[in-house]
Amino acid sequence: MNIILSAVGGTVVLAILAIFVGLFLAGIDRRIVAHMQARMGPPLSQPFTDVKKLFAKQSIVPANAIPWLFNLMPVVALASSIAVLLYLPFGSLAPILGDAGDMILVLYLLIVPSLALVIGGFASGSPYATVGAQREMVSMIAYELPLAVSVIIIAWRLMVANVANPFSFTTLMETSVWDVVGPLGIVGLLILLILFAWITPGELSKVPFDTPEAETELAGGILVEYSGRNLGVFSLAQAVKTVAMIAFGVIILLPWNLSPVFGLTGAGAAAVDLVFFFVKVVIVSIFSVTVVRTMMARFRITQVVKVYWFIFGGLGIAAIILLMLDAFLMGGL
Amino acid sequence: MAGKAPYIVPVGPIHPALKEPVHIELTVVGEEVISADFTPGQTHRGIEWMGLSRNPVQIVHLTDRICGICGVTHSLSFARAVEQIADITVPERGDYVRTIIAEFERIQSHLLWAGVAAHELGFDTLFYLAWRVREEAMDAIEVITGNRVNYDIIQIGGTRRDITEDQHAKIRKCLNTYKDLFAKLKKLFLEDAVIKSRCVGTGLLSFETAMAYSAVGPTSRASGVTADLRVDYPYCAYGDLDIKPVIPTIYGSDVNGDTYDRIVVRIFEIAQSIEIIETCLDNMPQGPVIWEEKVAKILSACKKASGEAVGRHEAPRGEAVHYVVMDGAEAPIAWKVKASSYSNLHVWPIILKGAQLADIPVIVASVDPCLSCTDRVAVTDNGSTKIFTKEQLAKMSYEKSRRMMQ
Amino acid sequence: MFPMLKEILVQSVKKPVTNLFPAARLPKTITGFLGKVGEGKAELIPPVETPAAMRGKLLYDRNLCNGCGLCMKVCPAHAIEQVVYPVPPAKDAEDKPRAQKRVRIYVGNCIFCGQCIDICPKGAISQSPDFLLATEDRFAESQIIE
Repeated sequence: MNIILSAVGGTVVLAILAIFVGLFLAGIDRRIVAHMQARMGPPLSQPFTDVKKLFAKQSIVPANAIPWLFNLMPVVALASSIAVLLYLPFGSLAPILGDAGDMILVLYLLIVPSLALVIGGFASGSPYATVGAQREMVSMIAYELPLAVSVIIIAWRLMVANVANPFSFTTLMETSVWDVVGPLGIVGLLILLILFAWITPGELSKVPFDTPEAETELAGGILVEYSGRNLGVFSLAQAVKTVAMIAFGVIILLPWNLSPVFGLTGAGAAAVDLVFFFVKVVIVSIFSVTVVRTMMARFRITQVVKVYWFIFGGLGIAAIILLMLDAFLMGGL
Repeated sequence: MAGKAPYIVPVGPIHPALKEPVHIELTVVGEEVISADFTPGQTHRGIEWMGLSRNPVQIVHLTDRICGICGVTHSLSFARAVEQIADITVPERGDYVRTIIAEFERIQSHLLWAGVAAHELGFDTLFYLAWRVREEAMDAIEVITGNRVNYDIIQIGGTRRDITEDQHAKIRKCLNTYKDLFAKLKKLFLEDAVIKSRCVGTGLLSFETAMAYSAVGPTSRASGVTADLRVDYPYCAYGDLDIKPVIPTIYGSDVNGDTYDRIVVRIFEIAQSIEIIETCLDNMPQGPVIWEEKVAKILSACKKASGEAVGRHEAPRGEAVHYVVMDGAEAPIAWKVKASSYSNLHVWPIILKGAQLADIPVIVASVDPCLSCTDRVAVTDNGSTKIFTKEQLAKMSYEKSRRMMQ
Repeated sequence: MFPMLKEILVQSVKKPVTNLFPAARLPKTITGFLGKVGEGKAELIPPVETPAAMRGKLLYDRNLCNGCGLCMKVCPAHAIEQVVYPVPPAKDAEDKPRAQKRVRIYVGNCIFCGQCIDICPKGAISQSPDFLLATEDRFAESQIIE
């Protein structure tokens, strides 16, 4: 009973925290983008105001839509994004659901919000949303390949280095993959870091990979028919998903904590590590989302596939070869 | 509806892709457009009708409001038509001022277009940048004419304001800024990997099609048609200048007639306009800028005039034509406007065919459409719609001509 | 490959170019804010400077006007109408007063072309650089020039 209570409590706290951080991240993103475009930009609280306004507005269900599916999907998207967080360790805090899930599970869970968007798009019965949903599916297939490659190669490298349970997040937090590799491996990991930075905007549907939403051609694509509370829930889901996706990358590739540096233990260490963790999330988000979306134009959907499969797929293979060579040289094989 | 291929994607009259009221209907299979059609006529305002109850001096400022961007284009074309009818000679200095303001208009219009094109590609940063540097031209125009958008500087017989010596410093400062900026603009628009990959080879308009459909302006020049009214039939100060039509070979590339070539042409026309303005400023002749200072005398000269004439001007979007008939009354008895977009819109179904859905906004925008200039006809019939055939339209035209002849 | 990258990095250490007229952030109510500005409690960020010859709201000197009505003839927007004031009583036997003709300009219709200024033989109309004219009532006092 107690375990369930603490799990439920932890989930609620984590959800609120993630929504807060996610919306704050969106605010920072918009401010920095505005600054780089020589504009003033909205106040940091703008995403909060936007969501507040959306929740006060009427949700319109189009006549062509399938109402129950249309209304259900925002909730599914938000719930699944929060579910990802339950398996992720934040700083030195262990995941709420303990070691119940591993990287492969999170990989699958990260797809669910996008799938909810796709189903919601098809259910809204608009040609724009249909095209958007098709594109979302295609881009999901596109970015999953390099993402899965990079996750699995890291786990494999840990396994070769005789680390037990390489897919578990607790292991990842305890053993940094950077510590087990040699010089060749470091180059491979740097490539993976770049790869991850470019997968994040795809996963989050940001320019240049925002083809499913494509404001100028599809008028908002998948979300075109969503309004009011439904759209509000989708924006919350997007905020949580941003945190989850970037946190996932941070855990895998930038797993360091601050508490050992200061020699802290107990609650103090957890707090310092948590703050440091979110600082890392913000920095990664600025580099992999904000800067990228400011400096580029939108890709065509065919180009999205080409870029992810051939350019980033090629980079992924390069990283695999480097890490394998490294494992061979370091004597793991 | 959704799911059944091919399905129909409507674009407009209200759509974020195109901030112009036109309805485009695309038949799409997957991501590929198999056919496209468009319906203009959503924004008819009856300006020509308004003109028929006003005298030419009033109309010349009404024409400024035909288009929000080509402020000078329409007033210059109209003034040139009336000047021919009333046999008015514009003083040389007036011609130079007209040329300078027309070229400033070209700069700001092309920058505005460049910003829109960047936005259509999802490149908002470039859009903000283009519109930010456009402000320089707007400021220079404001200094010369007293207003940013509706310049109202053309008068029948010349211009209403002169460019004084103390304005030269400000204009030159603006030109120098653009000279420094040009290299940057060229790099940002023409060397960006994504823009290149999105624009090269899309929206192809061959030389033959451009000729067959009488495309005008940068749209036709990007397909290699060396048609430029400023060169072919020089007017204002263009006869004194050594200019050549800008075609994509200026960037050292072949003529493909794609969206990328249209960007190239427009970017290089900005450079050409800067040069023209500089030459004009250096060689400005002395003298008055208007045929007659007193507006009342212009009015009476126009009242006496009778005849018909066509006034043409190479607008930023291509050739604009005004046809005016006067018969010794205050108001003209006929006034017809053919904006440059009217010629260019008809290539849409051709260049859109076979395009990817993602490229539609930029292909549509690449001809620089201006619908409020173009829409000249609206037939209202109790809300029902019908399509007139070519024969019916010809018959109606004959009838109208006969009415006018009586 | 991405020439914009350099551009945005340079811009990110520069100041924004936007002029934040009338206030940096949207006030709770615009009228309340303007009221506060009137009382001197809040500061208005001024608009971008306009050139001296900017064509703004018209100024009309009715004492110079002789009621010829030429301005009405050239106004493209029909924004000027003639007003005939009643004949004033004669001062003495010599005085032959006439009905006073003057004009009224509707700012809501005006397109600021300044043609009336050019044609006015008496110089009764002139142009001010005043352009903050937006209001909700087109017949408000500020919208009619007499």
